[in-house]
Amino acid sequence: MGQGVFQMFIQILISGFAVGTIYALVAVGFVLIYKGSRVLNFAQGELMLCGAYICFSLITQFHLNYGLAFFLTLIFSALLGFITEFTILRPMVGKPLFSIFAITFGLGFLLKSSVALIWTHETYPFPGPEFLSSPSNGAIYQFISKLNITTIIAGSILLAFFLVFFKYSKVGLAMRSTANNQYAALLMGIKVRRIFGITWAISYIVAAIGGILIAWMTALCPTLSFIGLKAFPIAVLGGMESIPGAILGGLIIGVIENIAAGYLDQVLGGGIKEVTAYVILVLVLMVKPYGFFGREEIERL
Amino acid sequence: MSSGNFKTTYKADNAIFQTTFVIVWMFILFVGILVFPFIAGSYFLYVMNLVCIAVIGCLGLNLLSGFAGQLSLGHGGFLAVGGYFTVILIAKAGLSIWVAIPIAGCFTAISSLVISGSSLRLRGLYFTISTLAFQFIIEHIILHWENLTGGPKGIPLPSDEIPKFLGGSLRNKYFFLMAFTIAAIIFAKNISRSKTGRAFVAIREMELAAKVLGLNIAKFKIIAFLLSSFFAGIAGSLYVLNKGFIGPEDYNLQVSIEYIMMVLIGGIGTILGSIFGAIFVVILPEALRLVFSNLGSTYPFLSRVISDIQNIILGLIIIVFLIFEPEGLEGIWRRIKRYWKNWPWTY
Repeated sequence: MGQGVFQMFIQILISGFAVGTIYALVAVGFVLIYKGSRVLNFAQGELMLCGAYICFSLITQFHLNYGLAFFLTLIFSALLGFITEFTILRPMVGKPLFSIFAITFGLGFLLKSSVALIWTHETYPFPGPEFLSSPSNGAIYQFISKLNITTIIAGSILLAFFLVFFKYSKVGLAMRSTANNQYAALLMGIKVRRIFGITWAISYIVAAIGGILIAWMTALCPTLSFIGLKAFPIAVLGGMESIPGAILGGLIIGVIENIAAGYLDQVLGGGIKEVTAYVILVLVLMVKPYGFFGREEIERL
Repeated sequence: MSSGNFKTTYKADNAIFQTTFVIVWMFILFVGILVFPFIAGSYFLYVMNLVCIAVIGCLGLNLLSGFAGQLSLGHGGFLAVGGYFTVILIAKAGLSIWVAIPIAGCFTAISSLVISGSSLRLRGLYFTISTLAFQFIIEHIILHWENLTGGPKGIPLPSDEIPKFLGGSLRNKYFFLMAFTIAAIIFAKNISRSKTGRAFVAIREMELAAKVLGLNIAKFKIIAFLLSSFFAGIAGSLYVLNKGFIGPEDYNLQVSIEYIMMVLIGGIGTILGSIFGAIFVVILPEALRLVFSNLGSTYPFLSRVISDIQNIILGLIIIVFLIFEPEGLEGIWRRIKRYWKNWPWTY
C-alpha cells in the first residue's frame, strides 16, 4: 500500500511540474506583454498554437530535422510577433485599455480560425525525437516518464535563459526600463516602438516553445489554445508584473491542478482539473489582490 | 434660426424624446415592429427573436461595462444562472413562467453579489480576470452538478407548463419577446438618464474624481453589477423559453465574448449602441451562413470550412472596428445624422 501511494504521489508531482513548466512559459509571454505595454493578451493560447503548428509542418511536411525546425519556428514566431504588433497593436496606442484588451479577442479569433483553416480541426500526434518515442525506454524507474522529465529540463533551461536575458542583456535592460517608465525610456534614447515589437516577438517565441512542448506531451489540435486562458490565474498569482512570479505561479498551478485531479476527482466527480486554477485565482484575489510579487497600487486622496 | 439642437434647460437635456421629430420616427418604428411579423418569413422571425434576447443581454452588459466601465467576461455565466434557474423553477417547482422569469432575474442579480463582494476590492483588469473565473466556475458547476442541471445533456422544458401561446407560432413568441425587449430598453434608458446612470459614467471616466465628488463608489459598482446581472438573468430566462431546452453549450466563454463584441461594435456606453450591436452580432453569422450555403452548393469544399471563415471574419471585424471606428455603429449613426441635419451646408 505505502509504496503504491508514494509512487502515485511522485508521479503526480512530476507530471504537475512538467505541465507547470509549460504554464510558466505561457504565462511569461503574457506577463511580458502586460508589463511592457499594459495589454492583457487574451490570445496567448493562440500564439502558442501558431508556433506548435508551424513546427509540426516543418517536421512532417518539409522533413527538416528537429533542431532546424525548432530554430525556424522561433524565427517565424518572432516575425509573426513583429507583424502583430505593427498591424494590430500599434494603431491602438493611446486608446482605452478596454478596447486594447478587446482587440486581442479579435486577434485570438483570427489566429485560431486561421490555424484551423490551414491545418483543419483534426488531432495530430506531435512527432518527438527518436529516443523518446520508442515505448521500451519510455520511463525511468517504471513510474517517471521520460517525456515529463525532458519537458521539465527543456523548459527550465529556456526559462533560465530568458531570465538571464532580461537581467543582463542590453535589449532586456531596455525592455525593463520601457516597462518601468515609457517617457523616461524615450528620453534615454531607447527606441520604445522597437521595444514593443521585440516584446511581442519574444512573447510569440516563448508561447511557441510552450506550444511545442504541450503538443508533444499530449497531441496537436486547435483546442489546445484553451491553455492560454490559464495564463490569467497564473499571472495574477504571480502579481501580473513579475516574471519570476509568473514562473513560480505556473509551477504552483501545474502541481496543484494535478494533485486536485489525482485526489479530488473521485470525491467530487471529474473535471476538477479545469477549474482548480480559477478557484485558486478567486481565493488569491480575496486574500492578496495584487498577487505574491505584485506591486500594490496605492492611491492617496 | 438655430441650426442643430440646442437646449436651454436641464429638463430638455434629459428628455427621452429630444425633438418632436424623434416622436414621429419612434411611432413609425413602433408600427414597423407591429407589422413586421405579418410580412416577414419564419426564418426572419426566428432571427428577430434571437435579436430581441440579445438586446436585453447586451443592455445589461453595457450598463456594467459601457456605463460603469467594469469589463466583465462573465456575462455568459449570468445568462446561464438565469436560464437554469428558470428551467428548474418551471420543471421542478412547477411555477408558471410569469413568476419564474422575475424570480430568475432577481436570483441572478443576487448571485452576482457573490463575485461583486470579492471584486469590489479589485480594480480594472483584476476585476475582469475575476469575472473570467466566475465564468469557468459556473460552467463547471453546470457540467458536474447533474442532479440539478442535467449535466452535459441539459434539461428540456416541460411543454405542458408553458402557456399555450408560446408553444405555437413564432409570431406569438415574437410579440412576447418584443414586449420584454421594449420594456428593457425603456428601463435601461431611464437608468442612463438618472443620477445612477451619471454616477456610472463618472466612475468609468475616473474613479478617484468620482470619489472626490462624493459618490459612494462601492454602492454604485454593486448597483451596476446587480442591474447588469438582472438583465442577463431575464435574457437567459427568455432564451430558454424561446428554445424550449437548456444545455451547457449555450453559455460558454464564446457567449461572453460575443456580448462584449456587441457592446464594442454597437458603441460603448450608449443604449442605442446596445441595440445596434446586438442586431449586428446576431445577424452577421446568419448572413454569412446564408452567403456560404449559396456558395457551398457551387464550391463544395467551402462547406467544410464555413465556421472557420466565419470566425476569421468576426475577428477581422472586431479589429477593424476597434482601430477605425472606436465609437462603434452608434458613432457612425451619429455622424450620418449630423450630416443630414445641416445638409447641404455641411463642413
